[in-house]
Amino acid sequence: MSTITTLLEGTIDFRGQVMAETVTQVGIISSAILAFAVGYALQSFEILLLVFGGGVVLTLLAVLPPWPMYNRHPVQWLKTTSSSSVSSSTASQKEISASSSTETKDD
Amino acid sequence: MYNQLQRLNSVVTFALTVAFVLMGVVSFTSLYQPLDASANVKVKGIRLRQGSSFPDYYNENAAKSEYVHLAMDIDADLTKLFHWNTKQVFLMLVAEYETPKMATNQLVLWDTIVQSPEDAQFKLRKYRNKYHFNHFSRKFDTQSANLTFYWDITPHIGLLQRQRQGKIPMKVTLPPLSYK
Repeated sequence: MSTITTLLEGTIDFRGQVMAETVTQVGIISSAILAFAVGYALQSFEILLLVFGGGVVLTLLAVLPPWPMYNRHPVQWLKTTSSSSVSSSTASQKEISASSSTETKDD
Repeated sequence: MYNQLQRLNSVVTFALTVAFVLMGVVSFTSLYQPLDASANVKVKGIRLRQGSSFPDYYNENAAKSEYVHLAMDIDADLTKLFHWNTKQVFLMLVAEYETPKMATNQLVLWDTIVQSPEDAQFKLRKYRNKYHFNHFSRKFDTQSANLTFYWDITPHIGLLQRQRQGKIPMKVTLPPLSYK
């Protein structure tokens, strides 16, 4: 089971997630518009379905695997610190979390 | 979007949402297609007979009613009804008549299903009515009936549209009983 989950994991970084989202939206909406245009021009409902289905498959191919372009900005974690400065670092983390929560409230 | 399963989920759900909108647009466009078909019927022969709907050899007093037997020439051209969102057309020939008790009486005499534009043009000669043409009170209280075509356009997606033949219906005068 763990091997399957690791195979399916394929994680990408935060910038990559934004990119994958835009690729999904652009790919599927443009394939829908193309499918409608081609289907209406050729007066065939079957071709409309085929074009839209092909567009969805192409989008899946572009988005699903963890392509290297989605992993160009890996998260840089802070280096581990000594035990004396741990308390100060946790305090600064609390500040950061507090500020971020206020930001979300403003949104 | 973090791992593969989440990406699969988000892509498929978004694709389904867009597909729903796309199907809505398709059904909307097919509502405003120009739909004009021609279907005409000519009655070549007409007979009014009395009998039971199936022969009952053991009961001479079985209920008998009047049946109209028709021989019709049907010319139809339904090719214009086939646009990209038409799955099939159901064509039916309806007899409509008035009686003193009932304002509208409708009977389907003949019907057919057309599934492709290649089969949508046909000329049928001396076709008999497919379904019984009899009044429910067993005797016709009327002297004439109108024959009209109706068609249902079944779309791939969207609303079923029923249309009536635009032209003047064919008028049929019932003859006297020819057989008892």
